[in-house]
Amino acid sequence: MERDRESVGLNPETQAILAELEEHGWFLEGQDIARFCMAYAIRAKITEGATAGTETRWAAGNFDKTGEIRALLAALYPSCVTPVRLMEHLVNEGLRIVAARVRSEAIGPAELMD
Amino acid sequence: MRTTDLQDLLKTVELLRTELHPDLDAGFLEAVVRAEEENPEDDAEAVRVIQVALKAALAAKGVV
Amino acid sequence: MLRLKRLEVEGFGPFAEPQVLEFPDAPGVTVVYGENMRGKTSLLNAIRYAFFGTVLGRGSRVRRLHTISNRDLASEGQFGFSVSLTFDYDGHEYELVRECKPTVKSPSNDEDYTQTAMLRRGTSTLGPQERERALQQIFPKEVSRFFLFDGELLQEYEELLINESEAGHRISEAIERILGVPILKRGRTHLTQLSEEADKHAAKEASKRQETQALGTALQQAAEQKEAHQKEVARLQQQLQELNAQRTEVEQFLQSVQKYASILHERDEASARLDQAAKDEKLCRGELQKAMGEAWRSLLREPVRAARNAAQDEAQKELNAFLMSLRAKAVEDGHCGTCDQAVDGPVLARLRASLPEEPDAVAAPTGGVSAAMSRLADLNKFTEADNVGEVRLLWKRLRDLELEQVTLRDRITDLNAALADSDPETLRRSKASYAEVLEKISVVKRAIDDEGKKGEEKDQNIQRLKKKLESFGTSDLRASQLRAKILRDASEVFGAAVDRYKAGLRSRVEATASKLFLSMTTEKQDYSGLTINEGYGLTIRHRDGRAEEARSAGAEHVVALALMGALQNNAPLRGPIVMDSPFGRLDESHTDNVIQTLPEMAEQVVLLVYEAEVGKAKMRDVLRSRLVREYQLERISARRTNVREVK
Repeated sequence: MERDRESVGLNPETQAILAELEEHGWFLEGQDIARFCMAYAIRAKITEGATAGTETRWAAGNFDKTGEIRALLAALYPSCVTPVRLMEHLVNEGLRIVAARVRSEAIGPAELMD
Repeated sequence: MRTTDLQDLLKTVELLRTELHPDLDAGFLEAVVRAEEENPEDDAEAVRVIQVALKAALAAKGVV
Repeated sequence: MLRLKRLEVEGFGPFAEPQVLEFPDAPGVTVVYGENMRGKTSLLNAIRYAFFGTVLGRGSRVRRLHTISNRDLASEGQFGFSVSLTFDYDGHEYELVRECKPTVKSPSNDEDYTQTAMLRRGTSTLGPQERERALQQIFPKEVSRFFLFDGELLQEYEELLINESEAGHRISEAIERILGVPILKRGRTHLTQLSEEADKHAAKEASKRQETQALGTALQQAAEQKEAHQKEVARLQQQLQELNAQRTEVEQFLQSVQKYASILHERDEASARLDQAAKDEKLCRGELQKAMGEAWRSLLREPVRAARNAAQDEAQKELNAFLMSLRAKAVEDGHCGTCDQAVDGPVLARLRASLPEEPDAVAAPTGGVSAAMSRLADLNKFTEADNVGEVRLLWKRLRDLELEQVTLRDRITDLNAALADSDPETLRRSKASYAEVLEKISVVKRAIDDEGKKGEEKDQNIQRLKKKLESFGTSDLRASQLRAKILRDASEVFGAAVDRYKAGLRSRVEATASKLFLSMTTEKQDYSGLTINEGYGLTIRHRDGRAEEARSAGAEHVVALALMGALQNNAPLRGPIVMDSPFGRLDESHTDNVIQTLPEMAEQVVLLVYEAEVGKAKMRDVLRSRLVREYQLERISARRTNVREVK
């Protein structure tokens, strides 16, 4: 059986995106941005997958202290056996689509939530 | 005219000591306040007096 | 407590022959009446000269001593002057005599004079060093502005309301000095300095030992780098201070040109609003960041609801199928496994009729918790939240504040430009330097921020290295680490004590100033008091809780007097207040209220007024028994005045 990861990481592209989003000052820390983008990806119905070439950023236990996110992924992606890997994938994908929207539409945090 | 109410200052410092670092030697902090009060224009002397008080505080903890 | 007893002046300003004023022991107000040019300001200056050897002119500039000699006597070839002041302090009587004598026959500047001073305590005369130390303790020059002041000095207090103003900063510092804050501040500085030295020492010790050599060296390097950043910050701050002084100088010059005064005023107001908007933005951003930390829940609210509904439907279907399978089994066995009874006759017929025609359509029960049920349980772990509305509001406010700042910055740039490039004739000297100074100030401020951040990074590195080093701890290493720790903790205690002490002082000053203000203002029914800010600036608080933005010159004056009185009441030092023509901008009702309040501001008040401001009858009527003595400055000639007690 495939082993799950213990941490959530970013690839070089999404690392740069995270820094770019941090610059706006809408979030207190990078982890908040990542969680938001992950939720954004789920809402956008991004399918299950894995992101390659990532470098560790946050321990899964810290990223999802209450275990809610893992439970949620198990429910929304029932065939998934590696929830942290999926979490990481959704964070990376979410960062990409959020950044693309922010760049092209010049919008703020409130519009992202509409 | 005295420009300070020493008791007020000492009380404030003691209060903050108990709140922040209760293990700090209260006598040492009082000595610092007095050193500054007595040497308002003389940095070198104030620092020297503080160092003497620090030595005493360290000796009280068994450090020479 | 300092109490003036007697003042004697000779050859000082308009006072040619020796003139004496005696101040009674009883608490209350001594009033000196005199028309313009009679020498009221000279009396205030005589007290200042006795204590500090300096005399102030307009704009608080130090006046040349050569100009102080009585002009009548000077025309006869007699130069020089003397002041003798007798006072009580801490249970002793003191006599302070200061003389300024010419060293040449016809002096033409200050170099042609010599000054002597004598201080007697009881019956003994103090030596020069002891005298200076005693005077510094009895009446520090830095706080003299709170005891000896005129209308002009009161106006300076308006500067307290402009956060960035250099004069405001200077006054705040003087206020903290009178209130005793510097002792704690110096304590913190010295402890920090010693703790850094102790850290360096500990690092050096560690670098001598083989097992801790690498760590010790790294620590030493980090400490050196941090020190370099600190030195750079100190240098930049010094530079900033100089630039601010330059800015004030040019602004004073601009202020003196009537035409630019209103532009300056508008610019200062815009700057104050810009500061406020920046603070509001910071707060609002903090709230937005907090809200955005939870926003992921809002994003998932709908998807989770949809998934929950789907899972519920599926679970219901599973339940139905399970019931059907139980029925099919009961029909097949002629026995119900659930209620353990035989199934036959009409019941069997009814059950059979309820089953689908295709026998394969009924699935066999799988057993255990269904997938849909466990999905539902997982989805129920999610805590729902909806803060979209909150985020929208905060985001709008943040954008408004950003926009406001952009607008204000543009306005300030325009106003600065108006100050810098109009009327080349008048402003030729200052226009280039004004724009340059402003630019330099912003560059230096940015550099200070940058250096500060770098210093903080180094400090974090130092803390990390220190922790590692602590785990090695041999006994003498531990001793030097303990030494550093005590100093660091003590410095932290002093830092926190500064804030705590200042906060307490501010609220006490605010309470007393409010009380004094309410007793002096004529708008008692509208105002509820004063609100103090970080720099001890006071704003008038309306009964509806809002700050009164537009204040008249008279209101400013009353606020300044309230602050003076509040400082007197809350400072550990106590002394006389000597005021020169403080009613200039006040109407009659305000003047009455202020006079009435004077005895509450200090135990001994000496008031120098001209009778058009307040007549003798009015003064006696308002002050009654608290009027302890009256003097009249009498004109002998344009250059000579005598002091006469009014009986």
